[in-house]
Amino acid sequence: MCRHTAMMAARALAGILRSSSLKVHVDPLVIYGKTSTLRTLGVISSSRQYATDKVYEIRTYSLYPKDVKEFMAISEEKLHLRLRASKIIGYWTSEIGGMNQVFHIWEYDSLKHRAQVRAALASDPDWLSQYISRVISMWCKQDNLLTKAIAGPDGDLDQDKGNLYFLQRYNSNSSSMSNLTSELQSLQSGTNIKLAGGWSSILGPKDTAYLLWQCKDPDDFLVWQENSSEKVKVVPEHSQLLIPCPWSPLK
Amino acid sequence: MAARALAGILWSPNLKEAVNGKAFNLSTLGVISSSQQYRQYSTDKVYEIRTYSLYPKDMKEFMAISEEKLHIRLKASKLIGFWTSEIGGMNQAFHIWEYDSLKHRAQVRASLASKPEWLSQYINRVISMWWKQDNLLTRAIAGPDGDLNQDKSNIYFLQRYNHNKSSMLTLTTELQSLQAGTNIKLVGGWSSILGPKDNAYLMWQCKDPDDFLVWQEKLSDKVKTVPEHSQLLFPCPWSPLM
Repeated sequence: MCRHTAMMAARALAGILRSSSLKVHVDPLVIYGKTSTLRTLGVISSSRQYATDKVYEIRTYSLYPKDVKEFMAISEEKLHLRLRASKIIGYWTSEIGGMNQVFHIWEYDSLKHRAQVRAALASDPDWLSQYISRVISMWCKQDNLLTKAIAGPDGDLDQDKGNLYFLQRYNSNSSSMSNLTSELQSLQSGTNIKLAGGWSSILGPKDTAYLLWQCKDPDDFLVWQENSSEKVKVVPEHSQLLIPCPWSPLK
Repeated sequence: MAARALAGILWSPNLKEAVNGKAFNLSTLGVISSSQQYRQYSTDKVYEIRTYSLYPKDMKEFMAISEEKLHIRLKASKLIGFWTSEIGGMNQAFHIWEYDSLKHRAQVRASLASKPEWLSQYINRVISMWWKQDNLLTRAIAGPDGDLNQDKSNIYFLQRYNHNKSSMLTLTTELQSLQAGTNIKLVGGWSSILGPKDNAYLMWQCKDPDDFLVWQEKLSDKVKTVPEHSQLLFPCPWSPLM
């Protein structure tokens, strides 16, 4: 059906699904125990990108400074072996607020799905010989946490290269974060700053939430961050400027 | 007189709203020189603070190579100062760089990355000597009240506070009033905008480090706010602040 009709149908369905009377009948417990949204039902386009019933693993690797250049070269050449195994949201290097660090977000349907992916990779000789064994001594530290998505991009993100990203880490629980995120999203309108996503920890450190922002002009973000922290009163514990790697879907 | 009149107009709440939501001041408009915001540091520039931790066995050679070759870096953008840490951190280099903006910083770094002599004569020779590098981006929150000592043989003390910018502005004013009559001078203050939140640095210059210890102990009786961390720093030979 044409896009307009699809949008109308999606809105109508959204209205029905969100109506309070239907909520009683369509109790989440009834629908296979999953809190479904239109995204997971595949009714609306994936521009919102993140599903509330999936898990998102956030990995941070610290590299030895002398190995960063070679790590980037080997990754550009061989990381495709990993990318075909499961869905990557994005992969960045940290420019300010962390150095010699890579930051990456991976989506899995569930922890069982994640285990299957990793088992398959562990028995993939190409993955081990062409990538892992070549880079493994370059990492001085690896960290990971598991999160749920708490926000997705409002509109369409820039798909061309040359975007910069700012990562804000908050020490807040998911209900505080959802209030904060709505406030911040309303403050971003009229700027060229876009919310790329938000994730809140479920394994790893408690009450750790990340908001990732996309922009073209990093100085605009600095000004926006300074202005919004005056209005919003909640300041990120840590913020970083990230640069997307060539193989990152978010560019 | 004209500058003051214009300042009055420009800082009025109405104009602040009108000018695209950006807080303008005379320095960004170029009406008065930026150095009048704080002596030497301007409120509209960004200051990157970098800390490198080196392997102890490499410190000596790092210092020698840097003394010989860091001039290649120094001509690319403005360095405020470069120190080694003597107490409160060891085998660490601490340096502060000024940029007009993040875009300016990106341009500087892009041109360095494509400069073969920077890579071959310096970076490739020292890169294995660092086991950790950290950086944060800051705004200036204070500058020296008077003239700093320009001769060699000054000692520096770095205080790191976990306070937001407005608390720091209040604290800094208090501390500056308490330095009067001593030979201790405030070199500058910087407050984080990228990296860890509410991280502020105050840098002090003195000739006699024991005077500073006495002064710091007396202060904490009067001021109630103690730095989270403090360090004794020695300026490197190529540091503009010496």
